Amino acid sequence: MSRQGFLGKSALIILIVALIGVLMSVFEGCARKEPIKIGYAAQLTGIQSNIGVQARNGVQLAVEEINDSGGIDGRQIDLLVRDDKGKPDEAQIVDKELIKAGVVAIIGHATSGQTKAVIPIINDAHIVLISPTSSAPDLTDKSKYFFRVTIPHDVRAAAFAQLIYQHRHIKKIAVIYDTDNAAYSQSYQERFTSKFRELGGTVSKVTPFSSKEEPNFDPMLKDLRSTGVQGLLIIASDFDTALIAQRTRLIGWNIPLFSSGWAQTETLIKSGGRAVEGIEIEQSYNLDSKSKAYSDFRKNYQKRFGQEPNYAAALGYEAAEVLIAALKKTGGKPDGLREELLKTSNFKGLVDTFSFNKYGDAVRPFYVGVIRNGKIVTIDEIKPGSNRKP
Amino acid sequence: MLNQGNPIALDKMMLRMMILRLLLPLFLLGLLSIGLIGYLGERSLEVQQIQRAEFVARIVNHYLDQSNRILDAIARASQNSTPKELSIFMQSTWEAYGYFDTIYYLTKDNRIRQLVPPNPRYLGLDMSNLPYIRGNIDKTKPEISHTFISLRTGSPTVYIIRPLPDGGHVVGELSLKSLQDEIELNKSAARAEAVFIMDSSGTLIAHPSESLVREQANLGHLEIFKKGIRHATSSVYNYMGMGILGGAVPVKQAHWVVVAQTPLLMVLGPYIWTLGAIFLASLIVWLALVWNLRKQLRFHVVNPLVQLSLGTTAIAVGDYSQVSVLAAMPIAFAELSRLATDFLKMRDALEARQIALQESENRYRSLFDRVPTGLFRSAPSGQLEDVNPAFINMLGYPDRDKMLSVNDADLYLITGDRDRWHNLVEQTGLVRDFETRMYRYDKEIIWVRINSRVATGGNDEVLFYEGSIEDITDRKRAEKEVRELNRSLERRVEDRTAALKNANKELEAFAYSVAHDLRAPLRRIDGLSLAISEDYSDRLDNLGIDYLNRIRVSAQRMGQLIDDLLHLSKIARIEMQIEDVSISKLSTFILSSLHDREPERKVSPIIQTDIDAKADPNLMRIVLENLLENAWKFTSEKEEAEIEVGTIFVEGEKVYYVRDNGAGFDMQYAKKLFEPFQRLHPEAAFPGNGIGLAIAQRIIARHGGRIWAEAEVDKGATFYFTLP
Repeated sequence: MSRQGFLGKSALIILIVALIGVLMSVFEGCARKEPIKIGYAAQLTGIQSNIGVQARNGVQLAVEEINDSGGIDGRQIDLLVRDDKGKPDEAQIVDKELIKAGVVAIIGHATSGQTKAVIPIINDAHIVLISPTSSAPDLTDKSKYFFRVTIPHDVRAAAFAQLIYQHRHIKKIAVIYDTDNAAYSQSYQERFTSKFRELGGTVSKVTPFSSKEEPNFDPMLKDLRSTGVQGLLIIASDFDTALIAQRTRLIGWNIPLFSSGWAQTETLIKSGGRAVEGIEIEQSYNLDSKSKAYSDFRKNYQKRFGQEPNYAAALGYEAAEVLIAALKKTGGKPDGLREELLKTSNFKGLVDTFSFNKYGDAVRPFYVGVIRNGKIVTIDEIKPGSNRKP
Repeated sequence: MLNQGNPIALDKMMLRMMILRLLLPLFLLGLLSIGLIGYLGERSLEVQQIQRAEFVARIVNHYLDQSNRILDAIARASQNSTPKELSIFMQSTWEAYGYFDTIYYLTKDNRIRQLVPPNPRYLGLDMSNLPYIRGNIDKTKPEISHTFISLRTGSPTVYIIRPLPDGGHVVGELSLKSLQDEIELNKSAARAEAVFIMDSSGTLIAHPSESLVREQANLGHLEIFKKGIRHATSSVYNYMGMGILGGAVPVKQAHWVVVAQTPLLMVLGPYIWTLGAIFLASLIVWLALVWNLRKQLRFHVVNPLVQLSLGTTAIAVGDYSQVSVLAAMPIAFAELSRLATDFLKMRDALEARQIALQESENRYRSLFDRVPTGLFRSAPSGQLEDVNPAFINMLGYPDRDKMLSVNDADLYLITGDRDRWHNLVEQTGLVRDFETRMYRYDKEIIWVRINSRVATGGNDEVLFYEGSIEDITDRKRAEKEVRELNRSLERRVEDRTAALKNANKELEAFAYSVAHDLRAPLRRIDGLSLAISEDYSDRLDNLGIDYLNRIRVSAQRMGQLIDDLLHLSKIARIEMQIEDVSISKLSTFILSSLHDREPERKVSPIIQTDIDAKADPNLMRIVLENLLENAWKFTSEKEEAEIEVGTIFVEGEKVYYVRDNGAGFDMQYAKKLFEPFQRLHPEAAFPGNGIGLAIAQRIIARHGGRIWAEAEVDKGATFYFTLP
């Protein structure tokens, strides 16, 4: 054997050792080959963190499912979660962080105040933002990069007003709303009021309150009762809605209660006791659905997070699903993602199908439910683009 | 040939052995021990993690037990107190212990009757939809609700619901902040090393990173959680992209899980690095060792062996000078040294033998070339393979190449001869003096004599024929001439013999007529002499009478001589009748008649019995009479005479003899003995006419035999004769 042969042999040994190392790293590399980063930002703490947390859970469930099934083109999805603490300036900070971290898109935010605040940032960065629950009407047409899987609440408020006026035969109504989430409640109240009045009804009184101040509702309610209304619309969080409902009954005012979609959670029932029986809720989501996709989702969610999914969880899940579908088409790249999302048509959600209109707003039905025996039961479905009950 | 397909070089083999037998086992052993140590280390680490988790789980249990006892106290107080007293008791308990955010006292219809701290907003609220109130069946045991984030404090919180015997509940809103504080107190610097608490859904209750708790982060997907909720366990899992070793202990009463975890890399890191370094160092040392060993092997073993191999190759092609390199090689091993020495010795021996062989070869080649006899070697097919110049010359070929292009079968005049020679040589392996005729190059035919043999290989297969060939044409010619000469000679002899016979016959006839004719004058001389003596005796003196008597004696003697001569010649002419003759009987008869004639003589006859012969009986009697009378006569002076008749065999030939112990004779006259009228003794001593032996000789001659005598003076004589 020549000297070269010996060196060859030694080289071979070293090569084998190196090869094993390389193989191991390649193997590892294969397992998480350049993950696709997706950002999630919403309030996870503080007021209304329930929406942010559940939407996050929904997104997380969708991401875990796609990762378990092999990811997008073999690439896993890395979900970067940020807490915007329900504050617009914090939302801007975390979104910048996420963009810097290299996310291809952001799912967020949970409420419209933060969403509005980050629009300029996503416009600059050309990063798609999909909100599960932001329903402020003035978000429409604000950005080429903004999408949402929920319907703007003005549409819902108008439709709800029409339903109450025409089908519940209530001609005189009062409204109480929480000013701490003005981006939602203010505009909801305004659209509802204008529509109700437009239909010929009377909105006797609109009472604002700040939930942070933990007000005593009894005087407000007694004042509203004095206007002699046939119904009361509550635009508040689940807990506040429950509290108001309880106080209404405690003062002996057994008036039909109506609630905006904001309160559509378990907390409303848990904290509402018997007082919330019969309350009608405008629902952005049909949590009473018996569809297979939804019951699977509900089962998985409960198994995974130990609680019932609320509308935010379902919408978060759908937001992630529609984003993943588009990412599959772009091969996990942000380029062309907006265009692919715009093409989304009759996307199969958990309960119903939806499409994005040219503004990136979901076009889909919404529902009206009622609480019966501690459960929300869907009683009406309102088709997209129609202000009329089918 | 060696039957190994592809033998491998020594150093390569050594390397292979080092790798397979040394490195690989070491490597495996190393891996095994690393694995074992790693496993044991990991096991103890797991136990350690479980212990950490157990420690925290005890704190949690203690915290929950304590809370339960507080609610128990309030529950008991509610039974025997006025609302006022209860309110004071709740207030003081809430303040004293500070465990609860809020404590509610619910009426039978689950409306809030009292709460601390007091808040009019909540008084009277219907709490019947709280899951643990609505579904509570066991009315004695406190229930711990799912955790939730308190809107007021932002901390995880649970309701502890204590049913009252008479309906209604005491509900405590228990903040879990103190557990968080406990965890944070023991927080480690390392991000992934942590002890944390999860509720039944996997949502964090307490974690070193508080924000995770506030954000209700859910770690329910961790394998350790799924196992830990049932029983104390430990496992290795992936957490935030890290290999984590964790131990989990359930908090049974609340269905929570306490997990203590530590990143494997952090614990095992230094250990792995150390082992890796040792491993690498060993590898380097090993490589260096192998490299060095290989170098040594190459220098001390492989190179000498290669040189040896080259030397062998050189020797194989006859170059003996190459090997001297070997002598200069540094050789470290006794075996190798011995091999080299032996090899050099072998080289010397081989060289010497080669030279001797060369010389021998040269000598024999020279002999081969110069010997006048033709020498050849031919293939079994008959193709000539080698011939010497004498061979070529003999067959008159112009050169060796022309000669070697010939098949030996073409040389034979008669093809049958070639086949005969071929058969002979194949059967016997050796053919001597095979004579045949062959064509020379110029088609002249020559006689040759071939001596040849077969050379066979190991399995008796014929390798070639070899032999010598001689030109015997001249000899053959000479032989022919001799034969012809002999034939003419024989013819002449026959002619002469015939002439001689004629002459003999004429001579005998002449002699007979002479003798016959001489007898008449002799008889007249004798008669006339008698007449004178008788008629003229008075006139003649004594002298004259004496003369007349002498004349008469001479004439009578002459007549006797003539008779003898006639007798002799007659014998020559008698026709022979050959038949069986008993020599013994004949001899006995003759001797007895001799004895009768002279009875006074003492003669002992010794006659062998049964002596037979094929001869003419009359002639044989004459022979025996002559010989026995001869013996009788010459023993006359012996007192004790002996006469012996017998046979002996001389060189396979039967010889008859007659022996006596008489006077004998001097051997120098032996030849004269058988001539007619020759006498060895004076007639006075032994009378006789001297013709008997001549007659005997003639008879024996006529039978084709021989007769001779041996004797010594005064010691007797022996007469021998043979008969064919």
